[in-house]
Amino acid sequence: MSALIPDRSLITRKRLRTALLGLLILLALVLGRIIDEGIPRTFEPLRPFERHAALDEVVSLRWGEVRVTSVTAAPQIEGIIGVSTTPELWLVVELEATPRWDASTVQWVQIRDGADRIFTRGRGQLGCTRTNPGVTTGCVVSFEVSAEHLAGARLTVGHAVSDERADDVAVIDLQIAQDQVDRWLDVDEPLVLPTPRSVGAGSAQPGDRPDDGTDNGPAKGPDDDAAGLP
Amino acid sequence: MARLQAPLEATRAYVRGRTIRDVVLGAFLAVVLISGLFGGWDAAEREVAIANVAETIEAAPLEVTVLGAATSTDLDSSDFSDPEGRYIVVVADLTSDQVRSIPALETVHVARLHGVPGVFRPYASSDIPPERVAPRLAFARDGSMLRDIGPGLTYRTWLVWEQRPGAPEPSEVTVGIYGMTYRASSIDGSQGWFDPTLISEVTVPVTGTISGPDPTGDGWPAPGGRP
Repeated sequence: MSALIPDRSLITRKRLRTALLGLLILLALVLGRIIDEGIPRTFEPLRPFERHAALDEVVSLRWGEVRVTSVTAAPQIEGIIGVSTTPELWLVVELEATPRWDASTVQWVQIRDGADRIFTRGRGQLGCTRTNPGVTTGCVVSFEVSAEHLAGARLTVGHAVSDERADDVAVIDLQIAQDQVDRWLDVDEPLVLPTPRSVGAGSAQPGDRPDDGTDNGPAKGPDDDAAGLP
Repeated sequence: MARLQAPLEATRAYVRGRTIRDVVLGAFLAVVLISGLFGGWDAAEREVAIANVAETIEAAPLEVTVLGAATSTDLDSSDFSDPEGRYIVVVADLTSDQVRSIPALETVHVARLHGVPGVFRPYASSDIPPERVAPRLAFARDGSMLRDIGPGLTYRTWLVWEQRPGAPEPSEVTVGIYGMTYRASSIDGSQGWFDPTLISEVTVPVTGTISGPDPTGDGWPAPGGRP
């Protein structure tokens, strides 16, 4: 029995301190792991604020107002460098933007199709001139898109250059129907890309607030669950 | 017999005087050294699938179908100036079945030319080994540079490499097709496609020359292998 009891001379103060230090390191590692696992790993905290609207409706955002004025598509477009073709369709959207506070403009756009697939512009363009507060500018945006699920597509419009995270974005239903998509697919002539035009004074004024009265709350929409980044 | 026992005894005495950690470490080193006699130190063999021309290869985030290869000294596209030597153009269909567009910076990892001398990247600040030179991707129907590839779209694509003047014109090229992994960036946590890994190799005969875009998109490969 006495063999099981360690010799008291082996339990020195130095060894006790070393053991305690080892234990503290282990506890710190466990605590670090628990904290690490508790921190959200998604971009949910950076989810954009969304304001849902439809074609021809004015959407009031933190930085200004936007309104989609027209939507069209064709298999080919003709711009300043000539005719460009695409595997399926070029989607061309015209919109107006009026900054409220600073000289700025729309800097980021995407398409969410009817199946919630996300399209960047591909080889398309974002033609949108920066204007002074209160002055409306016309923008032309083109996208390379798949015709499948294009019905029900929405345009997202943002102000941040790189992406939509933590931005206030407009999600605009382009009101595209399947029969319209079918007609666009049959267009033989290249679609002439419109030139972005200046429009003049808009209604966005400093001090105006977005329509829902909240300047920083996420707007709710029917497809709100699809809004966050993965 | 006594001669044999003496070294054994000496070894036993030596081992008895060592700590357990020293003994385990010594045994481990002995195993590592001895494994070299049985090929343990040989380079691991790459297990790469060999694919055929016109066979679709799953190389996430894309599906790649290599259709043919040709050379060119004038692609008749404003995105490609006349080459110093010649262009080597691999024609392939690239399809995305992802749920969001694949950034152009990530699609360039899809292929590399293996074993073709003289392939280089113009204006590169340093010499890059030919097998590491990324292609420039262009849409074969209008010759413009490809950018992000959207979901559900298939692009007939030129994968274009430039070969130095004087380098021998290849009669066939081996194209390595690379897949990637969708994961969070270790730098900023954002999701993206990383870690290109060789998935498959396709050996393609180099037939004919390409002199410009093919607006119909159906011109490759024509009977006889010429575009």
